[in-house]
Amino acid sequence: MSAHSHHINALDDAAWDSPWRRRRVGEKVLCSMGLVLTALLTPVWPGTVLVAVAAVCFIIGSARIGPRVLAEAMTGPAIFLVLGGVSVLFSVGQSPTDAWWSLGALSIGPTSAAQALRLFLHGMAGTLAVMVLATTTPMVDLLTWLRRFRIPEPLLEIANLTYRLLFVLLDTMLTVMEAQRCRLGDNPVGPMRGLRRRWENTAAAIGAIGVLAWERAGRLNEGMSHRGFETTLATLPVRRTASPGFIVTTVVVIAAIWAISWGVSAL
Amino acid sequence: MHIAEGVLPPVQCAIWYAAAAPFVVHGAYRIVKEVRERPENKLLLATAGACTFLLSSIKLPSVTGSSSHPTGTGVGAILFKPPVMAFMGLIVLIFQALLLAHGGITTLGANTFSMAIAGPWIGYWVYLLTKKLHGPNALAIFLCMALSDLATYCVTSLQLAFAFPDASSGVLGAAAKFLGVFAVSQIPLAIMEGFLGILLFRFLVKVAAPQLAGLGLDLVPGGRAADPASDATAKEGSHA
Repeated sequence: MSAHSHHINALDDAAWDSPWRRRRVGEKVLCSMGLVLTALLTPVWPGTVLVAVAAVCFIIGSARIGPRVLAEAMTGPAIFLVLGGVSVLFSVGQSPTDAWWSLGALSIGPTSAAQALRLFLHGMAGTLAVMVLATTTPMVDLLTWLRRFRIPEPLLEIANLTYRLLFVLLDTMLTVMEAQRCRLGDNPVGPMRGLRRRWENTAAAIGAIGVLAWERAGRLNEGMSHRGFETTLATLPVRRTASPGFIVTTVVVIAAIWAISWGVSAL
Repeated sequence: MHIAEGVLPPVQCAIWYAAAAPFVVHGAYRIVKEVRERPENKLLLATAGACTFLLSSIKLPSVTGSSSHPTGTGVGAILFKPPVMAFMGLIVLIFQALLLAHGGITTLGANTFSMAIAGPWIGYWVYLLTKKLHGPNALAIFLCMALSDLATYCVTSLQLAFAFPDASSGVLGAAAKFLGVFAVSQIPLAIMEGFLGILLFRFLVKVAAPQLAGLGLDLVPGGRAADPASDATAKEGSHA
């Protein structure tokens, strides 16, 4: 839990403190999604590798996000990609004639190796490209920006409230779990290392958090309706000036990756 | 477990978006209608989303000392019904992609289909079927939670198999591989999540019977409402 809460806060704090916070959301979406699509559509070499390098340069260089924050955020996806890559690396069934290695029904050959490498590199490059947006744009900015696409107001409102409640509930959850730990509720002693007691405590903690959240939401709703909150809780968007230099840089970087990829493919 | 960004080919990303869209649109329509009719439920729905997000952050204890994470979709399916979970699941997945780097934007359709549609619907159908056959509440909750979890991972494995067919045995071989690596390892987790669900609802029946009744749930034995004394005892118990 603590690792997850640390990740949530780390990425959110990075987004709020980033110098890119003052940039227009649309420009950052253009940069991030342009890189995501490039990572998805260009060949592994050199396209996705260049996307990964460009994304890291944008995040650590221009947006000045700490390398440690980025490394911690990338640990989870990297584990998934390694597991997925290993699964793809081994073929099951009759060994292909060009297999490099085989044992019973398992084999590794050039086709499966290329597929595994493609999965891992596309995944790493794509995730790093999403991190360009995640580490520089707070969720509130993104939801405010989405209003222009005529998404029904109640849906954006619920997304906004969910985001805000997340941190309130996170604090509640940490308090409840800390209280249990202080009472040695998670102490692995007794039969089966106290498994039954620890399970009952976990269920009680989840239930308590749910009930407390429910009651708090009810009270908050009552208070807000007394203040006239009936339809939306709109926040004033921060006016940001366009940065043509940033747009040009984004387009040039993406175009260069495509040009190099085509050039290498043509050789 | 979500499919990471960039892993699925573009055509399959589009197909999974198209497959998830009707369910999400239906869920969004239900939520808009619900909020317009009863604006007071807006905060409760947001709380449900935040709770689902946080539930997937709680480590489950295990004998070895290692831990796993529940998906939380089974609880949502029982409490709020699957259509609402389809849209709330989408929001949770977007937050997980941007706040935890789990999942992605191009794989959002595929992840929504597995975690917010297939899991809750399959779990909820089994829950209803068990109730219809007059099965005990505990069994219905266990099956709903466990099968929601298991269905999510099975669908994720199939999605990956379609994207990366095995070099020798094609899509079927790849499905067997991914099911072996991901889904079979999830069986213990699904069973644990099922037991957790029983304990969780037992706790909720003690302390939040009126809220459960308000959601149209018939889980209180004999229809009795929770008394304040048991409320206090249960809340104290949560800090044990």
